[in-house]
Amino acid sequence: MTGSNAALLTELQLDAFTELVNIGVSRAAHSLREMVGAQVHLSVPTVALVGRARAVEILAERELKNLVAVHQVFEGDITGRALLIFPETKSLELVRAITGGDLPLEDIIELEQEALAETGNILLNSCLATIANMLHRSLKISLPEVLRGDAATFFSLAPPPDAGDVVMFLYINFAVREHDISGYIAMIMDLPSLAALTALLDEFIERATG
Amino acid sequence: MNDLTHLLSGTLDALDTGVIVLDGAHRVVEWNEWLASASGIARTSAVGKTLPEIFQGRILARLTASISDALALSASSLLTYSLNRELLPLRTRAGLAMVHNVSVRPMGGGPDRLCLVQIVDVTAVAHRERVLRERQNARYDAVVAGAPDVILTLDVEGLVQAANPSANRELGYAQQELLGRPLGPLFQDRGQWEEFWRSVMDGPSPPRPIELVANRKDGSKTHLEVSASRWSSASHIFATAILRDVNERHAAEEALRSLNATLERRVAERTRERDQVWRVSRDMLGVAATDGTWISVNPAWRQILGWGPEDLLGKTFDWLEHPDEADVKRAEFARLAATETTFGFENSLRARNGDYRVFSWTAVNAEGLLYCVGRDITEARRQQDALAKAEDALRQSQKMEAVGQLTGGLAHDFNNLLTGISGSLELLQMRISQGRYKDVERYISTAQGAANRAAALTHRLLAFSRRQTLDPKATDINRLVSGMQELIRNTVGPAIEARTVEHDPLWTTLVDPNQLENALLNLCINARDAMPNGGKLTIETVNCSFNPTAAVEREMRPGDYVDLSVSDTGTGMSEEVIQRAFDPFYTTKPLGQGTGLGLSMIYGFAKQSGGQVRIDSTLGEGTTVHLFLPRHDARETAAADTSDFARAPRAAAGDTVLIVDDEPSVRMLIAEVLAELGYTAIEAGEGSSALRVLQSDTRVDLLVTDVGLPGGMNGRQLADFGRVARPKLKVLFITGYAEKTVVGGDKLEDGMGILTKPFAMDGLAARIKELITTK
Repeated sequence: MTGSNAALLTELQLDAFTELVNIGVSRAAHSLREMVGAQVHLSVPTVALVGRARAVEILAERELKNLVAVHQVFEGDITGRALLIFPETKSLELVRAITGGDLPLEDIIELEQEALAETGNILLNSCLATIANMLHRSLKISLPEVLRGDAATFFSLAPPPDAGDVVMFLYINFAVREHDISGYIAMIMDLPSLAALTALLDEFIERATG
Repeated sequence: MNDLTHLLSGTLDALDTGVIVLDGAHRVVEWNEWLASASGIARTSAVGKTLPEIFQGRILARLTASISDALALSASSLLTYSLNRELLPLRTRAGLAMVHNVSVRPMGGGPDRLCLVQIVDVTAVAHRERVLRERQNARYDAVVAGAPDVILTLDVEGLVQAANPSANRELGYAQQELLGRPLGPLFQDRGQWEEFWRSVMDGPSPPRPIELVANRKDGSKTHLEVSASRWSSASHIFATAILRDVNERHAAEEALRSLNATLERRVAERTRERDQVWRVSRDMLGVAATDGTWISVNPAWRQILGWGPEDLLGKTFDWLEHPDEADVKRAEFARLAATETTFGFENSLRARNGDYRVFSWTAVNAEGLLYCVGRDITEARRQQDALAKAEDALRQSQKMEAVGQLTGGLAHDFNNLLTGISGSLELLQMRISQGRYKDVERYISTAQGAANRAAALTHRLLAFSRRQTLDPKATDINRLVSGMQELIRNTVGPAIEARTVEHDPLWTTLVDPNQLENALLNLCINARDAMPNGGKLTIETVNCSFNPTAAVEREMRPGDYVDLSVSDTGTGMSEEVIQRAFDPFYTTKPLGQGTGLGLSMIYGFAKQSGGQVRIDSTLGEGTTVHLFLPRHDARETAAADTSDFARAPRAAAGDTVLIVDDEPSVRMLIAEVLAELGYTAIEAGEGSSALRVLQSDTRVDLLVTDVGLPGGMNGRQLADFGRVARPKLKVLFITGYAEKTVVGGDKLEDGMGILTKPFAMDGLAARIKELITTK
């Protein structure tokens, strides 16, 4: 896919989507704050719609080879996979930030898997649920699953994706207990799902501006 | 349908997980048996109530929110025990707190949507993990927490993930201050750390430890040896870094380095000192091979001899040595160099200006090299020679002084004697001119006595100078002593008891008996003088033998001797007096009572006879003088009694004697005596006129000649020339002292004799008769 995101999604649509995601993450921040008992700041500065291959490139360029991801499947009017991706090196820091930093390294390593799964679950649920809610649609969201590997692995999960898949690519910053961790949220959709999303976004824009 | 419901209900109750189904209003519709057991709340009590109602508020907001999400948004949620410690108040069958995970999922769709809450017991898993971890931690803690080294776990980015207590001790940072921080800023040389870290992470094997200087929190510095190796856990890569305090080692190394530097400096200083000694020494220093080839010489050579290293190195001394001593010195050098480790020798070396200088060398033979020190002793030698000359001059002047003293004493003695003689002769002449012959005999005997004493005096002088003519004969000393007993008794007087102890048989000795009598009498007189209040005088003879050791002590030759000793019970002598007793002119007697020649004369006589004199004395107890005389094998020959001139042998008819003496009185006197005895006498004043007589046909039966003659020919030469003409010419030499070398040494030829002045007229007559009559 060589087409620019602009051709697939208008600037207005992107802005609207960015707004929705930010509402979602602030809800997630609230949930996390309650869970960890400390201030949690989450922000999504930019949203980009790119092809799958480009998404792999971006990750490969910016991050180390070893990545960790929390994976959830969403189904409904829009169907696809949502991934919260961190460099593997940051994942422990994230866990330490969430758990409070008093735990020994060995405990953190042990907790990593479940803690990541739950943290990612909170974040992705918030985003997806908020989007679905705001768009007045229902999405069935699966339980989280932790993946390790590189970008190519994450974007080539079975069943094999269509060549036309697009990736809604979001940068996300966590600021928890003096830790400042950057990661990505990726929503992989096929073109019909994207079309449905754009339609829903248009409806949302119309409601919001109408 | 009923069956199905029953089946489903049975299945739910049989499940090993907790199942809760909630309706849209969050009220319980289903509550299976597992849950009833775990919560202690029966299904009947739960159904129709919300979870907060059932658990009385002991439920997490997060669970409520998840249920809402599931019901409202169809979102599934996972709540894990790792992040949510007390999800629900559940217990295991054993009553222990149950560790559990909860998943919340939507069921169905639309307005009748339900929410399924599933609870999984992970107590066993969590417990196993905790046990494992604790066990591991115990081991880990034992090693890491107790380690004196700082042990840090770093993640792949180099951020500290764990730190042991030593980190605080060593670096001053609390664990919390280190966690999540990079290590680099701790080190002064950050670049070195980064490079090291890269090789830890990327290298095939852990790199070698490096030493880094770290800043402690308080700003002080610490030397650390840093080692690190990477490891992985649950697909994470970590590195454990060990920071070892090497300040002590560093200090020790620093000290060692400083010590080395100091040592080098000291060696350099010492070397400089040695160089200084080498350079400034005023002695000639040199290193030579054992064959004498110079390898190194110091600057003193140039100062003293004018030769420098360019002249000397690679050569021996040969070309510098004095040609007269070169061979001797070289042989000596070779011998010493081969045998001694340290040796000294002297030689003369030619300086550049042609002078020879004398050197005293000390050489040390070490490890195949000769280390030589040569001191220029030329000047010292010169001074030594000058000193020896001065000493000679001093001795000469002392001798002259002694001679002065002696001649003074002699003049006095002789004047006394001459006064006696000339006075007697004057009185004699006066009486004869007056025709009064009555008392002349008295004057004649007075003059004779004085003359005899004068003769004895000159004898003693000659004995002292060891130039007296000894006439040694085989002598039996016992017989000689017994012959003198009467004389000795008369000499020492009645206050002194004189006795003799004679050892028999006594060895024969070869001495001049007259001199021995003199010596014995002298010793007895000394003994008498040592006993002014009387005492005992003992004369003892004994045989004795000296081995080489005993002989050396007494300054004698080893062998057999006869010891003639004279002991008194008198005042004795102090050690100082004994030391000086044999010195000529030394006397303890008042001035004028003796010449001090007594003991020195005895000493001279004993030495000339091949013997020795020793004095044993104790102050206040007495003195013994031992006279040792060498043993002689021959028997004593009876001496002819020639004491009476009137009974002297008369000449045969026509016997002619040629008398040669430059002293007319002596010549006249001898001629008178010969005429009295019936000889024909021919007189000559010097050698040449005497020789003319000998070369003529005149009858000459005997030549009597003084040894010392004027006119260039001495008595011996005259005799020799005379024997050319008359081979069987008999000769009697008369001499003032023993001019033995002139006369012909110890052995006189046949038909020759010797007579010492002064002599008695009867003695002369006897010798003349003896010579003439021998064939």
